[in-house]
Amino acid sequence: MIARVGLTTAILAMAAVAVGWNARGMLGHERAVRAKNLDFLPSPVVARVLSCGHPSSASRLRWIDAFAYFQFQLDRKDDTIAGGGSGFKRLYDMLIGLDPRFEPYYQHAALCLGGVLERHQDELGYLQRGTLELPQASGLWRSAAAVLVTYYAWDAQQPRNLDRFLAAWADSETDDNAKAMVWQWQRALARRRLGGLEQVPYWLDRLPTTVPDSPMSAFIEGILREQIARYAIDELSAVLAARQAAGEPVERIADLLDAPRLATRQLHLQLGPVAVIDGMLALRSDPFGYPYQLRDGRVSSLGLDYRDFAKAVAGTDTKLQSAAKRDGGWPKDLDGVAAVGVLLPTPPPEAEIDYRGQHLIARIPDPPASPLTFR
Amino acid sequence: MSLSAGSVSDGIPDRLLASPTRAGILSASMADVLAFTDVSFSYRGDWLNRIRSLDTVSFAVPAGAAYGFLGANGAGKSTSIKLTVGLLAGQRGEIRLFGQPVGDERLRARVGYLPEQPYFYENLQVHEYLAYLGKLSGLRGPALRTAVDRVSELLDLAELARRKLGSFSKGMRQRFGLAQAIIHQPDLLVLDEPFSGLDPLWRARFKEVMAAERKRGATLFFSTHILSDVEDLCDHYAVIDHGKVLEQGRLDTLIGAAPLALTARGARPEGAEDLGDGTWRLLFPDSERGARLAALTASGAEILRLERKHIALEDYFVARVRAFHAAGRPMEATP
Amino acid sequence: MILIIAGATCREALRSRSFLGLLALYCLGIGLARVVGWISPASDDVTTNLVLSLQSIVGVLVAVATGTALVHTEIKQRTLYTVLSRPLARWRFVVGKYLGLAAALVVGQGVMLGLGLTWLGATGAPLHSALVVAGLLTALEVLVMAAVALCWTALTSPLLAAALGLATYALGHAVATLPGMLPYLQGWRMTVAAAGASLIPNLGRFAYRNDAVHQVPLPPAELASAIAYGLLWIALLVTITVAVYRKKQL
Repeated sequence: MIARVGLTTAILAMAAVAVGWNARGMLGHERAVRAKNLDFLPSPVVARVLSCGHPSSASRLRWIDAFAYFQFQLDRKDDTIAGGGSGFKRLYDMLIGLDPRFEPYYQHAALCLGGVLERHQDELGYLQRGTLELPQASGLWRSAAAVLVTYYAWDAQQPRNLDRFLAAWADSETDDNAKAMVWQWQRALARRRLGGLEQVPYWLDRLPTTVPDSPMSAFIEGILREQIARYAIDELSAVLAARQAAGEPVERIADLLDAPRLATRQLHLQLGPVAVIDGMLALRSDPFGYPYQLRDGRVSSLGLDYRDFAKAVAGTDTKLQSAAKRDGGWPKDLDGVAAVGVLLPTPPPEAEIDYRGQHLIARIPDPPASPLTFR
Repeated sequence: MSLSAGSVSDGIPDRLLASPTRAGILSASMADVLAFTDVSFSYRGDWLNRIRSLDTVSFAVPAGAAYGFLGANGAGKSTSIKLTVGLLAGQRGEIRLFGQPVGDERLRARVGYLPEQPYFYENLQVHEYLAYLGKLSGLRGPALRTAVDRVSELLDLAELARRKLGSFSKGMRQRFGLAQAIIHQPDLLVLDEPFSGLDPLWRARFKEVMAAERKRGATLFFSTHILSDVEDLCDHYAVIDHGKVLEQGRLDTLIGAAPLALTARGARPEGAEDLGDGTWRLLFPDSERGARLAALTASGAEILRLERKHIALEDYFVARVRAFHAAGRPMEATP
Repeated sequence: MILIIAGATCREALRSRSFLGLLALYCLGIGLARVVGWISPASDDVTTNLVLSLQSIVGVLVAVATGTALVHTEIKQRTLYTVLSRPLARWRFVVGKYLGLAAALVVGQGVMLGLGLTWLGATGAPLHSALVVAGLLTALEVLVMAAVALCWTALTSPLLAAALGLATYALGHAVATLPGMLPYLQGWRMTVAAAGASLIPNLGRFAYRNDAVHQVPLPPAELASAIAYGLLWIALLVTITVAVYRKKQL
């Protein structure tokens, strides 16, 4: 009896230690960017054979795995893989080969190639391939139309071809309401064209195809905020230049709330940097929730600076990993990082670089206001 | 003392005894229930070797007999039995079952078989399994239920009806094995080492059941290497060794060949063994009984006891097998 | 007689621990499928795909594991001595054993399909009749695999038969892609490849699950053709098994 109790206790104790040890290794980690090796990407036919009758399930599992590659490419912007060829293209060719009826594959292929790598020809290719396979997928038609207008200016340069494309889209819709939506989209696109915000309609169209809080959704929202911030900087810089040319002092950012000069800019009411509150002009926070600043005689968006800083730190961390691999070890601290020849970016105000767990991490203060949301 | 077909143990109530069947009456009129004629059988052993397990075996089991098939391990007993019940085929020679060639599976409806060290499905319950095997033997409906209840009670399986056979001990499996063999009241009961794994009480019970079956009209054919079982149950026997039948016949003939032993007091005749205290013992064949008794009476000897000397069957069997091996070579593997 | 054997076999199979263990594995699998769905953009679609795939994979594992053991274990453990010593032709025994296993597998597949659809409904994934049809065709696929395993065991040892059974599963799905690849071969190579592929049951005919997720309708004629195809292969494989066991020494 004593031996049995002792044995049971020993088993429970060891099990608790083993499970606890595992759990400790799983929790409390920061989200890491993984470098995904996509060297093994079989051709669609071979992938189908390897899936042993479960091509849909196999493609879903591989697709989930591919999000790490997407994250990796956000900084790298070069998806050449061993043996040549495009990693994204090979990946999505394989996934589409396994399940050609799954619409998100075409959308995500387009987003990765067009949005991340800015290869809009390839992006268009996947969207049109999708419309051939899934003629009733309105989202694919819509995305293809947005690319044609935004990046190829078909509305200005090839209006007849655009009309033919939109007519084909309308024909593919089986529902009368959906057919009408095609022409409403065309009218809305024309109304939304504004200097400096040309791509915003395109990205606003893409955003609903992603899942909220997913990496792709965050990517698109980041781009939108970036473009709106740059637009704001351009507009406020124009006001600054005008005042300086006129010899009028500009000491603070609030000095740029120059009503007459702002009136000439025809700022976008919702997306522009200036709002009218209780009859008074007020400067909005930048789309990231931080204030616009006048720094070293230039207009800057602190949120944009932090974003650029975070990207730069991520890129620097990639270089550090390569250096560590080359040297066979990691530096002990930030001084050591500089000593191995890795140049650290200059942090914006109140930001800093942290070196923890053999990785460089950008530490950015929380925004005082809520970031601009688009859903 | 032997349990012949004519005596029934007090341990089995009459209501559990199957009444003699029409088939049993028919079998009594047939000459032989089972007959092997020059049967040889071989199988592939390692690689291309063929192993001959039976070599021109001939024997016959008369209807209504209790036939003991004696032999050491690997002698060919189980092979002969498997050929009888259709588990093996492709022999040379002829095997007849109820006068018909053994290949017709319909004949097996009249055969009950208990394999050596039987195994059964682990997840079926006793009653389920008995019903399943009873159905395969042609029983249906009320007759099936009656038969299941009867054999369950006969072999003390009624209380274990809902237990799965996977939890059974070897002895319990043996009991179940006999139950499934007799459930359909076969004309020929073929038992391969039926007493294996049984304690003395159940050995005795098994012998009672087998005797009762014989009384019903069934023919018993069982293999064993325990000679006392043959002495207790059988009236016919065959001895097999290395695939050859060394000897066969009636057991009473074998026993009848034993000499008479006369124990007396008085003038000791020539050849008598002195037992001391004035008594002596003389052995002589049965044919001399009359002359010897007359002579002794005339001499005034006091006859104390006259009995048949017990043949130790085990000694006899060992001596016969040794004699066979001394006379010829044993079976060898043939390529 | 055949039905009697089938009934006992079915009961024995449904009560075996390995059968229940694999059902438990299926339950664990569909739970994990939901977790995988959480980390995917199209969670319902991923979960539905994985649930349907699991029914096939677990079903085939059960079919191969029990099919290879079905008759061979009986011979090795001699449980069939008390059965075949009765007035029962061997072919009835083999057919009865297969039908019993098939009945047990159908029950298992039914339970898995029911559990899978219930789980999908509970997690909010859309349910439609195409999923049921996909589940039924998967059950037929499992029955064909059971016949494959039974046939392999008649010809070789259980371990090798299990490996060959799983290889047949992989090849059976691979041949579905072969028609598109054959034009790349020329002359006798194409003939040999086509002939070789024709010897293997095309399991792709039962893989409607890939289209069912997208609610692509299955024409009734195609469904009937798939059922007839499956039954034909089952009959062929069981007949080969009967022919082998007829003369087998036990």
